[in-house]
Amino acid sequence: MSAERNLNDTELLSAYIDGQLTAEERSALESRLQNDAELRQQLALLRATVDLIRELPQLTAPRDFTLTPQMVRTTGSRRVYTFSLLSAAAAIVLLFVGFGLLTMRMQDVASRGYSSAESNFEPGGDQFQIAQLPTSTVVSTTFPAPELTHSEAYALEDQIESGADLESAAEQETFMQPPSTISAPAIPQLVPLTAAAEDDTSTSTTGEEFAEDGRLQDTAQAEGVAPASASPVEAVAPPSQEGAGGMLAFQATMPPPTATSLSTLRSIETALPTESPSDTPTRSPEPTLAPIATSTPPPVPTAPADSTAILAIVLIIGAVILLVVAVAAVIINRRR
Amino acid sequence: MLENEQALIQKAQRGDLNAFNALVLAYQNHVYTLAYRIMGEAHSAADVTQEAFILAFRRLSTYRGGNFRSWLLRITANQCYDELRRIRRKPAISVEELPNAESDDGPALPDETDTPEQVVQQRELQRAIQTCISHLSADQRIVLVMSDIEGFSYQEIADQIGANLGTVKSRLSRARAGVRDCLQAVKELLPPVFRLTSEEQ
Repeated sequence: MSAERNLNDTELLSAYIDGQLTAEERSALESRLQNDAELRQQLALLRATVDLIRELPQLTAPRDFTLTPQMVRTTGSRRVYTFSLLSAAAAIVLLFVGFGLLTMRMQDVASRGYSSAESNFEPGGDQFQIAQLPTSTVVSTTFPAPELTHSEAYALEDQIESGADLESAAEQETFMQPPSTISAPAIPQLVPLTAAAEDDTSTSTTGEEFAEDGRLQDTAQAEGVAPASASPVEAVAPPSQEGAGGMLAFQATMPPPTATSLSTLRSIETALPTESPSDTPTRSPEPTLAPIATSTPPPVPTAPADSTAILAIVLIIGAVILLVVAVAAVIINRRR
Repeated sequence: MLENEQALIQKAQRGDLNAFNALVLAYQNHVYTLAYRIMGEAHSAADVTQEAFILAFRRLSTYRGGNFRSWLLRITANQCYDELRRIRRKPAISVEELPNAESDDGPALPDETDTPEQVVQQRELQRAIQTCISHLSADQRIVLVMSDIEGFSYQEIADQIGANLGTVKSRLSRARAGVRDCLQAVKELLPPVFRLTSEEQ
């Protein structure tokens, strides 16, 4: 009997023991078994082997294998990390879309902003624009909401229906984190303009331009706003002309504190004439020292509360919330 | 089977670790035995057992009724297979390891009628069988243990190892033949049928 034959027989016998042969196979094997003593012996031996294995006793576990919370924590961790990763990914997508919309919106506002600037500052309109155009980043950086001029405030009032909207928008702005990278051109360009603002409004170019405009001067004084610091307000739009770079600089000016922007917005809300000038002078130099920290609610005053801007802001806020949730989930999970 | 097994499972599925631990206590001997039979030694068996329970807890959501013990043992067998592949150890267990295996084998309760000699012989035979199983390849071992120790059907084993019925049939017969031949080394411990065969050969 060849080894191969033996192997086949073993397989047949093995399946036979388990009752896994077809009816044909079984009857064929059984008739062979009747005539083949050696095959019968093989069957007996294999059966005895299987019986021995089956009779092996159940063992007693050497210890308890009960689970501790630590053992199964990785499950939660894994879920949390997956969740965080998805949240972060979603946040990035939302950020892209949000800023994309915002950029579009800003470009739109840019054209409007210039036309309004010309109409408001006719005497020095040309010069004003010349002064503003090249320093768009600066302007956006030094755009301190508290120094809004009266005319600007009115424009805003027209655009913004209710103060509540502004408030909520300002609160939403608090979610904005200033990016860690600051666009390089913003700082050097910032210095001359704000320095001028610090020195004396009448000596700075923009200051002179404002001084020429009596109406503006009046409102500025009435509001106790330093004219020089008002100039940046007009330049809200330019950053968008710089495209992504402009947006970066723009974003860099996102205010960590809300106090100033809130107060600004409230002042707009109440039409401003009696706004106390007390803290304005101290605030106006701020851009020079810490331009990044200047309070700037850019989308609110510049972009009218239209659906695009709101959508963009909502998307960005959603993204930030998602990011915060993702980070918080990881932190909480680690502490558990 | 636990009386309130399904209730415990449902609680465990909702994250109740205590409920799951009640199931662990109920099945740990079973799981450990399967792991020990496949792994061939106590340390790996304990590791695999622990891992299997952790994995089972994580995968509780995939349990959709049916025999919980079978579900648990399938996870264990899978875990054994992964472990065997991971350590890629030779199936052979050295003679030096055998004395340690004695204590690992746990209390195989002897018949009260057995004499002390019979008890000793029984122990030795069981150890010899385990050693022979451990000499098999990992593929054969898993099929043999699942079939002849845990009583899974060919189809269940085929599903478990992702092979067809023919493969299961073939591996099982080779595994059985391997153990049969291996046991010739301890034929003095074997039932008469083995001695008869060896005499004939």
